[in-house]
Amino acid sequence: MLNERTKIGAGFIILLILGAIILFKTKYTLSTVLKNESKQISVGGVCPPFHLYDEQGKVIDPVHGINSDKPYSPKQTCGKCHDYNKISEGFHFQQGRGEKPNPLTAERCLWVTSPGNYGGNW
Amino acid sequence: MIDMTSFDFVVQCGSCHPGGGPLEFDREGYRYDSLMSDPNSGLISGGENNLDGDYYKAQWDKSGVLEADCFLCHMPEYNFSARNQQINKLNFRWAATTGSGLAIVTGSVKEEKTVKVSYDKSRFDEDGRLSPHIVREPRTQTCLNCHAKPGWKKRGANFRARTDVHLAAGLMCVDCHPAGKYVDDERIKGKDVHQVGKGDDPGGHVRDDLDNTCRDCTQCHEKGYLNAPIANHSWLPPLHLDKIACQTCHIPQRPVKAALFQASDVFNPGTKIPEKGKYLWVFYGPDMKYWNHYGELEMMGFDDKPTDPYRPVFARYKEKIYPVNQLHSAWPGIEIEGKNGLAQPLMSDVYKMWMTFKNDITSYADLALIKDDNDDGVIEINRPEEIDALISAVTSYLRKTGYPLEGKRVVWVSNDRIYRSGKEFEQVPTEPWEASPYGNVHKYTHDIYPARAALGVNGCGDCHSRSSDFFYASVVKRPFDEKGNPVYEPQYKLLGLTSWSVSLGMFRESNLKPTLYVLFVVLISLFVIWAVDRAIEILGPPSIGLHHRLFSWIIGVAIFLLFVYLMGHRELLEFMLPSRFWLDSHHFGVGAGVMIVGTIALLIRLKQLYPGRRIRKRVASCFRCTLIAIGLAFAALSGIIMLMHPEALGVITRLSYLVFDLSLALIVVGIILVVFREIVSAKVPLVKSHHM
Repeated sequence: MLNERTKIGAGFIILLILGAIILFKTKYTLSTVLKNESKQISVGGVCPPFHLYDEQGKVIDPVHGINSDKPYSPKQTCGKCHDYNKISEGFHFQQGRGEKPNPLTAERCLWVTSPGNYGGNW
Repeated sequence: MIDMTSFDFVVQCGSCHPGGGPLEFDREGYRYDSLMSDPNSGLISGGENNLDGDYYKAQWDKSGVLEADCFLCHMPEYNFSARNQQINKLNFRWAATTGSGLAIVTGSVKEEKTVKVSYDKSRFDEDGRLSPHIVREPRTQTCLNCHAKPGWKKRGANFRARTDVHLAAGLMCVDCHPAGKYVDDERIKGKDVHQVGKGDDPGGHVRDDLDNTCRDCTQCHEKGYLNAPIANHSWLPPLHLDKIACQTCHIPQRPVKAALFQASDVFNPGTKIPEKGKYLWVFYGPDMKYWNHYGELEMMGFDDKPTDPYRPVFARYKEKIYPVNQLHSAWPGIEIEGKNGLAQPLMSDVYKMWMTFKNDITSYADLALIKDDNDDGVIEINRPEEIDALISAVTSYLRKTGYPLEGKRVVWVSNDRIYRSGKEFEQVPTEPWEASPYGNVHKYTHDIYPARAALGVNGCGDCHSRSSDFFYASVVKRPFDEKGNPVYEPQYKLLGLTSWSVSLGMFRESNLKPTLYVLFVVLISLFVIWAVDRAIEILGPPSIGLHHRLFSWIIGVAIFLLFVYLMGHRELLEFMLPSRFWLDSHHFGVGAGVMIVGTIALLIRLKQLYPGRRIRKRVASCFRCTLIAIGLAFAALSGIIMLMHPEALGVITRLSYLVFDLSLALIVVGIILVVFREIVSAKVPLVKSHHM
């Protein structure tokens, strides 16, 4: 017969092993997902099924109730496969931010700080 | 004094701006919410934050930011309305989630109600993954969600198949405005590069280095991209394509109104203007009649905007003539000692000034001097006392708000005139395409008409005639004179042309060419008389009487009279004879034909004259020959200049068109005289000789 201490010790070890398996499995699954998500985009140009991610980069999985109270982050979600920074350099996003105003406009209109609608124009 | 802050910018402009850039990062490159959430930043949520425009009274830590929202463009079913509701609730962080329809979001940062997300599980697969309907190329309607409204106000764009040949053909915005790795222009080509191919609008200066990266007309209509019909302008003297943009002829008319004049100095009396600040923008349409644009937009919406056709103004921009909308402007400005440009009071202050006056006419009572001088129901500033009244009222208001006016002076700015008082103004330079240095200029590019509706389909007279609007249309020079009526100038002046050079063109197309074509008919009639005479001589009875000779004249005159009759019946004329367009478009062939016939007539006549004498003397001794020879020489010379149209010769090249047609007329007159002489001097024998 096993004594009480041995039982506790065995239970602890089993828990540790189970925990390790779960951690490993989760990590494996996530890394596989990430790998696959970024791999597949480079192969076909067609987005594979993908997870949503929140602003902290954590998976949102409403089906399994993981993180499902968080809004998704386009940057973290689409950015897994696409170059978010390159994309958002587009003038549709920047709207003249970081650009100097056209010299003639700057000379005429003292309030203008950028060529776009952001920073003073009409 | 704080103008629109970055936080306000998200609320007021985020409905169209897709996130990222200034909606995500401050001027230093820090993400707004991250920095404000950092206790070491010293920023206080909702606080004044050292009057920093990026953080003044902002609540980034609660609202989050608007990241670049990919689905906004790439998901056709994206719900803009749901997104904008979140923005208005200051739920920036949640906007993309509701816009994509993936979840329902409740609560509001603005109302301090906890924001909760409830995802629609049916959108996810069993692994919790998503396969949404997303597209590589955004649909036209997606673009129009943002571009429709601003495209209407000052650009007069309809963006509808009814008025645009490209949309009618099923093209999408991205066909001409491509992005990513599928574009031709290396400046914007590459995976994930989202620099959408852009045009070159004089009114916009964002990323001027990427101007003209969109597919222009020639890329499709010269190369046949997407099976586009190849444009054939062989009928048009090449000079035109060097100087005139495609749009100039292919946008002969605009289908919906655009604001020609924006007065930001008086109160807009219109109804249904959705935002208070917009009551300070009074718009006038292309006809210079008051236009309640925002009211129309609010009442009818963009999709049901009314048809208000008008002819565009033409202006020179970067060496070519374009159809444009040149905005005229009027606004109160602030002149600062030692500086060249102008500042402006906050529009919200000018609005408040007017509201104060409207509620109590003893406040800023000077404003009562501003009257409706043209009886259109809207007051306008145009007389010296009205200018003084506005300057005085704005100055008083700014003083009251504590605005520092030392070294500054309130002025009234009307187009390029800076009025320091009602009678003293300084004029500032403008670009050739501008009506006002402070008003936008927009090139018209959308709403292209079919080729068969373009300018020129009726011949050169579509532009080069006195009845055409191309050169002689009245174009607004200033919004108002002292009676409140617009001041106009002819279109050609705006194009930098002189009256005489335009008149020469008009004379050529309206007088000279028609005269030339009438001379053709005279020549044909005379030739018929000559031919009938010859036929009678050869085939007629042995004894030819006077009545036989009259017979040929009757036929000739009848042909001429038939033509005169046809002149009054244009449709029949063009059914029976070459149309004016045909004649104009085959001008090279017509000219060459005249020169060949002239040369033959000259040789025949020279052969008849004093055989053995030198050609020069023979030509000089015959008036008809002299006419033809001079005509041939000048036609050849001017024709070569026309074909080569050397830039260096400038005015001479322009004159060559006139000289060429004058020379043709001279040749034809010479030929007519030769044929006429042949007719009257023909020795038709009264008794035909009988050959054995």
